[in-house]
This record gives sequence, C-alpha cells and structure tokens, in this order.
Amino acid sequence: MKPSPLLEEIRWIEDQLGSQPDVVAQEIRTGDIEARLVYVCSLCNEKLLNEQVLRPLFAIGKQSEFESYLLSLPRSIPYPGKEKSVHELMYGYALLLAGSCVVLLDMREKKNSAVTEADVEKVIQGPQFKLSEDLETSLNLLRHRYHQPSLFMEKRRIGTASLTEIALLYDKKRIDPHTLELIKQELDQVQTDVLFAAGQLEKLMAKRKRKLFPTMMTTDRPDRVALNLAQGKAVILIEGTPFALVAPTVFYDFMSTMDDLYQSVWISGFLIFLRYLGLLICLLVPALYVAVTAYSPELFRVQLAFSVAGSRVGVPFPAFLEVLFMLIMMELLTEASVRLPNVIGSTATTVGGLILGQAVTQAGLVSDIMIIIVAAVAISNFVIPINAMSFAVRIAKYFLLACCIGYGIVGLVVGSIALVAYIVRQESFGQPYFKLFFVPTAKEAQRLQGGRSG
Amino acid sequence: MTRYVYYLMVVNMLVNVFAYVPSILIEHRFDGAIMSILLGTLIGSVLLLLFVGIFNRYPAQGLPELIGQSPFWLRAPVLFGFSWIWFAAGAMTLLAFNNVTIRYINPDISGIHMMFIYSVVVLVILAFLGSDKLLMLLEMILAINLPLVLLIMYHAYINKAITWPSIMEVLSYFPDPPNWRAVAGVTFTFSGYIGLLVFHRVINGKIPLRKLWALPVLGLVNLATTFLIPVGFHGADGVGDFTYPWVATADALRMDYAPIERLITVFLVLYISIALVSVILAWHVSFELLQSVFRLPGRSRKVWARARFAMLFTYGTVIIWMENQFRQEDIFAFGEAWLQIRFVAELMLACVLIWLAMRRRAST
Repeated sequence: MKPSPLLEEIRWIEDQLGSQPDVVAQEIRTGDIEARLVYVCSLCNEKLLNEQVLRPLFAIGKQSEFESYLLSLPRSIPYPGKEKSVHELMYGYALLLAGSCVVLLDMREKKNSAVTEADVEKVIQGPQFKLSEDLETSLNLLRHRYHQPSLFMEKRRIGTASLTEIALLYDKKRIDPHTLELIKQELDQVQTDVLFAAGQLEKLMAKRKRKLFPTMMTTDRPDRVALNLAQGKAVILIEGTPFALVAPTVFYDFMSTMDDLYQSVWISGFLIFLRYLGLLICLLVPALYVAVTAYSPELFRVQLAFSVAGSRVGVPFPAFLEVLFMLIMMELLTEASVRLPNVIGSTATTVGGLILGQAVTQAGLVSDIMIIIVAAVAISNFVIPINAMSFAVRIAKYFLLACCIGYGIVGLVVGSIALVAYIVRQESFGQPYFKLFFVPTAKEAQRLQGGRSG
Repeated sequence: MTRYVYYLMVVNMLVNVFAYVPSILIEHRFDGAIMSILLGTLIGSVLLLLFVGIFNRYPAQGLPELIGQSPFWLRAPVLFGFSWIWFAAGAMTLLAFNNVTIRYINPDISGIHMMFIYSVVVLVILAFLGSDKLLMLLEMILAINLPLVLLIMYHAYINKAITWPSIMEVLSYFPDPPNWRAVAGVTFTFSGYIGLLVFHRVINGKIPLRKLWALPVLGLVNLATTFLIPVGFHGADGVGDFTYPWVATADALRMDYAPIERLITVFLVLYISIALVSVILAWHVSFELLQSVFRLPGRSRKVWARARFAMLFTYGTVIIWMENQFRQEDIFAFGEAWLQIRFVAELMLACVLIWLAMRRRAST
C-alpha cells in the first residue's frame, strides 16, 4: 500500500523530533484501526493518555466510531499543519493519526503547579497563598477571585528559543481601550531568545531601557492582581514564574500593600504615613548627614551639632567617605544575605552586624551617629513594600548623596527637585506616573460605573 | 485640571516674599506702601479675572494659538517680546536667589559656578518636561513645601519679639497716595496668570470664576506678611537697613523643641525650591512663546531639535553673562526696572487679548 500524504507528514514530524529517548512514536493496530501516536513522554501525562485514548481505542475497535470519539473529546484540537504540530508537540500535545483522521490531544503535564505560601509580599491578615508557576493554575486562582465573564484573556508566546507562554488578562468593561492598545503594541515589539521572569518582560517592553523607577508592577499576590483587574488594569501572567506584571501603574501603587485594604482607615492611614516617612529617611538622611557635617553645621541646634562633631573627632575621613563606606558595607550585607542559602545566612548577618555595629566604631573608622544613620536607612528601605521600588530608592539615594557631596544643602534641594522632575517625567502606558491627586476623569468614572452595573 | 491655576498664582506669590517686592514696599513704607498694596491687589485681581475670562472662552488654547491668525507684524513682536519679558522674570529670580545662596548658604563657591549649576538643572528640566508634566512637578513641590511655609508663618506670627507698635505706625501711613513703583511690584505678585499664556493648553475645562475669590485674599495675606512681619521684627526705621529683609527676619526665628533651632536654613531651603520651580515655569512660558515665533510648517524634527537646543543654550549663556556682569546693586536695579516694564507690558497684553477676543467674536 502506498503511504497516504498524511502519513508522510507524520513521518516528517517524527524526523524533526529525531530519535530522542523521550520521543515516543508508536504504531497501533486493533480491529480495523491503524493508528500512529507521537508524543514527547517527558512533557505528557501518560496515565491520562492511556485512560482517554489507548483504552477507548482498544475498547471501540472500529474506525468510524473511534474517529467520532476523538473529535468529540474536549482535549482534542484539529490538526494545524506539520510545522505548527511540531511546536505543539514540544508543549506536551500528543499527535494521533487514526485512519484518515489526525488530531492533537492536550496531554500536557506540569509538575510545578503547586500553590505555595506568599513570601515576597506578606500581609498579616489576608489571603496567604501566591500565584503558581503554572499558568493554568494561576488562572484558576484568579478566576476564583474574579468571577466576571468580562475577564478577557489573550495568549501569546514570547522568546524565539524558550517560546514562553504568556497570558494578557483584562476586564473588557473596565480597561481603557487606548491603554490596552499600547500594551499590546509593546508586547508585539518584544524580541528575545528566552523569557523566564516578570521583571525581564518589563525591561523588554519598556521603550526607554535605562529607566530607574519601575513603571509596571511585579506581584505574586492573587488578591492584588484581582484588585488591579477591577481597577481597570491589565495583567500579564507568565508561564514558569509566580510573578505577574500589572500595567499601567503609578508611583503610589508601589507604596501600597494589600493590608491597606484589609485594615481600618486609621491604621492603614498610619501605615501609609510610616511608609512615606521611611521613603524620606532612606532618601534624605545620608545626604543630609554629609550636607550638615561638611557644609552647614549651623543647621542643627548647637548641642546636637557638638555631639555630631564630637562623635566624629576620631574619624580620619571626610564625612562623605564615611557615609559611602558604611552604605556600601550595608549594601554588601543586604546582597549577601539575599544570595546565601538559609543555613549560612544567619552567619553573614551576625558577622556583618558585629563588624558594622561594634568593631568599626571602636576602631575609630566611623562615628557612632553614622551607625545609627546606616541602620535607619537600611530599615526604612525595607518598609517600601514592592521590591522593585525599594531597589530603585536604594539607588536614588546615591544620586542625592552625590549632589550633597558637591553642593551641601543647596545640592540636596536642587537634587531633590531634579529627582522629582525625573519621576514626574515617567509615564506608564500613557498614564502619568507621579502626580499629587489621581482624580478619576469623567470618562473613567463613567466606565467604572458601567462596570459596576454590568 | 483647573486647580493648577491656583498653583501658578500661589508660586508667584510665594517667590515674591523673598527678594524684590518686600524691599520695594519697605522702601516706600512711609509714602504710600499700604495704599499701593490695596490698589495693586485690586488691579491684579481685575487682570486675573480678565485673563481667566478670556482664556475660558478658548478651551485648551494658549496665546500662540489665540494670536495665530493675526498678521505677522502683530504676532511676532508680541510673542517675541513677551518671551523675553518672561525670560527676564526667571532671570531676575535666579539672579536674586543665586545671590542669596552664595551669601548665606555656600559662601565658598563662586557666583558663576553656582549659577552654572542652577541654570544647567533648570535648562535640562525645561528640555525634557512638557507643560503638563511641569504642572505636576509644581504641584508636588508646592505640596512638599507647604508644611515649611506654614511652619515659618506660624513661628513668625506667634513670635513675642514682634513690636506691634511699629506695625501700627507703618499702618498709620494708610492715607498716603499709592506709589507707582510699589504698585508695579505689588501687581507682580498676582501675575501668576501669565502662566496661562502657555499652560492653558493643558488645562482642560473651564476655570470657575467664582472660586477665584480665594486668590486676592491669599495675595493680600501674603503681602501683609511680606511687608509687615519684617517691620515688626526690625522696627519701622531699622527695617530699611537690610538688603534681604526676609532673610534677616527668618534668622530671627527660632524653634524651641526641634533638632533644628534656627529657621533660617529651613527658610532658605524653602526659598531655593520655590524659586527654582518658579524660574522653571517662567522660562517654560518664555521658551514656548519663543518656539511659537519660529515654528513653521515643514521643518524636520532634527532641525527643530537643534533649534530648541540653540534657544536653551542662548538662555544659559545670557544668564551666565548677567551673573558675570551684575553686582548686587545692579541685580536690584534690574529687578525694579523690570517690574515696571512688565507692568506696562502686561497692561498692553491685556489690551491685545481683549482686541483678539473681540475680533474673534466679530468674525464668528
């Protein structure tokens, strides 16, 4: 018998896959059925395949009946052509040729679909689990928090080598169509080999690559994602990472936690105040220390100025070297404790803490007040809830420090204005990033109302 | 967006607390300052209503758009002239606060050096931020500085060292007829509405005229503070001895329970930030007007970017040259002359606007 053109195509696909140990290509004969099954066993759930395909195949045993069974199976999709089939096989689909009928069967199995406790963005009382590394599981978590038929989803694949699946989610009724269009445009122009993480995608999507402050939020909390969907924002989920990207976002979003929603008004107000205080301390205090000790000691009341000067008596460096030295030590300590395995982590902090806290002052390299300042800066930096923003602020404080090293208090003021101007200049998908009041425009208010009644 | 009008007005009021206006008023404290304040407030409020009223009719349009259809001989001199008048407004503020900086904060640094830093920061911000972003910046800076303003005003008013009799004495010169120079100075505190010439492009919606009543009141309180508090601190006679009466006044304030005892530094920090933002705004108005003179259809983006750079470079060069040429007395003489020129020019601009509005109405 001359092989049919379909069989030729299957052969071609098998050739493409090659004779890898985990590629299964099998001939099956029973009754009047002649079938050929191709799949990559490391990606497929073989038990499911067995139950849903092989057993019925042997039980039915008739070509026509088995064909209609295959076509009515919810897991089957029609044959998309040979090139595309090779791609789909690499995602965990199985290709089945039975007589003249070819289908792809969704037999994907993911081992990373566990839902674990949220550990990056913690809340005290609120949902405790984060999104999963598996896209479908994450979608499940989200759909269960946001029961709206208007929640639309578009899937894409990004990365020429990794072909990572991403899902763009939005509430059709609430999102601004112009913003959505911009986001899609940015997604279209992404070019990369591999895509593994949310921050990476953000960087690839950004028009201006060298920006300091994040304009998309990275979060792994399903409640925050659902909230943002309800606020008319778009969410991008990425296969293989529990972090989702939210856009557009403004500066305030990075200073908010989900706890703000769950606590009473006064408590959350106080917490927000604390966070902004932390932001100011982290940004201004090192710069102010240099400006005051080196340029304008008359700023402080005289007793305080004396005690600062007194504690610096034994220090053989100018103030800015002292500050730089201690800040760099602190950054090293932070960085080391992030990278170290948990078992050794405590050693680093103990040794670092001892060195920074005690030995340095006793050796007369750094003043006591400097230790207090470094500790205050480090702690207040961690008060900023979203990691990306906290990193940005960590860098921004060096800019202000540099301004103060050159020009004292004047440098601090001018530098701060320049910094505010820089942040104000940012945009997140057509939305202004930083302004004092975000009053919804009439159009937005109308849209929100429409969303509520719908 | 209409709230930005208030910010434009307020920043102009605040920046005048520091340099020229208090000196002029104090100079004329015995011949007509009080009457000038009242008359100036009246004139300023009328002009404010006039400008807002006219711009309200043409949503999202600035002066260049309004004047766009008129003949070139009218359009070019008005735009070009006002561009340089507002450049001078920024330059005047920048010169004064540069002078204060090298005198009171960083005496080790040369005036040119400091001016170079200031003008580079201002010009870079001008080059990168559009009108809408600048308004957001203004709002932010005002919000950050508001606590400092309140702190200083609180400490000034509750201070026990104020000699109220001196203030009463100055107030008793109330019936004297107003003085031209003082009126010109007073009206400048209200001329934040000039910002509308450019910023009205991004202010959507009608500015409610009835809610503008707060601005004359604020302006009057501001002028009273500017003028009377230094008199109260230094006495009706002694206050005339100072170049910068408000710096001397702020140096007399102290806080009891804070790590910072002397308010002078707080005052200077506040002053630098408000003044810097006000310079940025004034030069932005100037820059946009200047661009609208030269903006012709059919010029490529590259040529345009170079032209913009050339304009900003000119600004920088002129201000550095001024800093190099002017001594302290020159700065003050320049400021006062400018205040008077500006007053006349503003009245002329008001006439031009009325004429334009009438012509537009006739044509429709």
